[in-house]
Amino acid sequence: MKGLLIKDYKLIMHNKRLFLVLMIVWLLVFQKYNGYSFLIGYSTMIFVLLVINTMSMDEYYKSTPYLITMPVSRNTYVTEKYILMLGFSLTGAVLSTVLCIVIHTDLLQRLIIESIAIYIILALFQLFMLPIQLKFGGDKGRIALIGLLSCVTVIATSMDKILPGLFGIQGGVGAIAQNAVLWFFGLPAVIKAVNVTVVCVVCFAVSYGASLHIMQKKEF
Amino acid sequence: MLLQLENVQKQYHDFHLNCSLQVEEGCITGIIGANGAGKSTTFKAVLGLIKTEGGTIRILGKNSREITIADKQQIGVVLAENTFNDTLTIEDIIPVMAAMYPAFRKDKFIDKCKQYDLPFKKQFKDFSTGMKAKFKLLLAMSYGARLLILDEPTAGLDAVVRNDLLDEMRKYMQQDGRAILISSHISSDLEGLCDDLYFIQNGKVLFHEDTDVILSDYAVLKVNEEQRRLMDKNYIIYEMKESFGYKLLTKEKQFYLDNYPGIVAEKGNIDEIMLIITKGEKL
Repeated sequence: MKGLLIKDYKLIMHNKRLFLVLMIVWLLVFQKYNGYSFLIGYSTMIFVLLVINTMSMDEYYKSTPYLITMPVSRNTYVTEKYILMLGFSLTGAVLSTVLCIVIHTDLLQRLIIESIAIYIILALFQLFMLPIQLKFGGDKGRIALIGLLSCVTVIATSMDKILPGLFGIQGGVGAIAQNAVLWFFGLPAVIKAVNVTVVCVVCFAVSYGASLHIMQKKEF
Repeated sequence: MLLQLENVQKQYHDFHLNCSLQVEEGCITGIIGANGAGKSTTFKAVLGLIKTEGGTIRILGKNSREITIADKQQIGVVLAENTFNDTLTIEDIIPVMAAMYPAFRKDKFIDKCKQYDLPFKKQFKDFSTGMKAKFKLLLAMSYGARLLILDEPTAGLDAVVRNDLLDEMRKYMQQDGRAILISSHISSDLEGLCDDLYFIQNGKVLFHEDTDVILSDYAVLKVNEEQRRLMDKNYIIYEMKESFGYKLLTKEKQFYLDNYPGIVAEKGNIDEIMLIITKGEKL
């Protein structure tokens, strides 16, 4: 595990120029823009992409088979990617939040809440992405993701037309989602936290389980 | 026995691997065969990179399904593909190897890289074919593995670099308890290096023999139609028709030299033997 983490850290460091460019963009936007949630999300996403890039590079350079022959199990390979991705994106979220707080100490509470919310959303995105990356690799993974999102869009659009006719629900999927959000925000803070934790744990378990399964079945 | 394959099966669309082989301690065992013969599939099966559909693989005395992390630290690998991502450098992978292999000899590895003029700060994508091959082999030998599994470690190299690498393998084998399984297209490499050879074709082992025996006892007899008709074919293993007549492979060179004076008998040559086995007919 330690060896894999060092390897990926070294890979990420080779992308430091790209990282610096993105950070300069971050700072330029920061001067002009007051939407801190966007800035925290942007910088966290940069950290996420750097990690996803390590997986794409393993696949592109066909180095995964060699890594599997080293003293690591397939499960360890998967676990390392989860630790790296969630840990690295957490680092990005914390760093960007701290930077925003240093500049705007008056927004401390708001920034922390926004940062946590953004991290959770991006963590869920990563949990969704990782099994797809492992199954299809970099290029095919992107196609699979686009395909999957297109399917979701088609289903949601179809439901918009079907739901009012069949069940008398007005406003379709959008209305259901809006009601769900309103219901969620109406809940007491503790219940909200429990709900979010349960969703995150379930998503993690499903994603991690799927990734382990995919990696166990994979042939090189 | 450091490696043993018994009827290992793998089916692809139109290819079926059915391979049995052994690698003894203290031995260098070679696998030779044409492209697509099943060499790389055999290596992948041994290394657990593909799922086999039958047979057993025993590595370092254990069933391959029971191999632990500590066991993997005793295996050195060169694959036909890459090792690490091409954007990394030797400098980058030294701490990786140190974390992965407790027996990694950092100083010795650095010395060897310097000896072969391998640049420490250059990305692997900028390495020449020769540099990559040297690096892959030095890496596999850098932690004193008991078993080296080397798939085409000398492919695409000039004679000088090939000789250097073959010398490194010979030196590596000077320590007791080690073994190497190696494949190559270049039969002369294997002829001068291996203790025994497996000829593989269409996923099956057609022929296995000690290299010394191949070189001393085997011969290719070149005969015309009449000579072939009159000769005792009890000791002919394969025959191949050619424009001038026939090429016959025998393990009893002396028998034919004694009993058929004037017959053309060429010393066992791995390329020639492989050609007859591949293109010819078994008797």
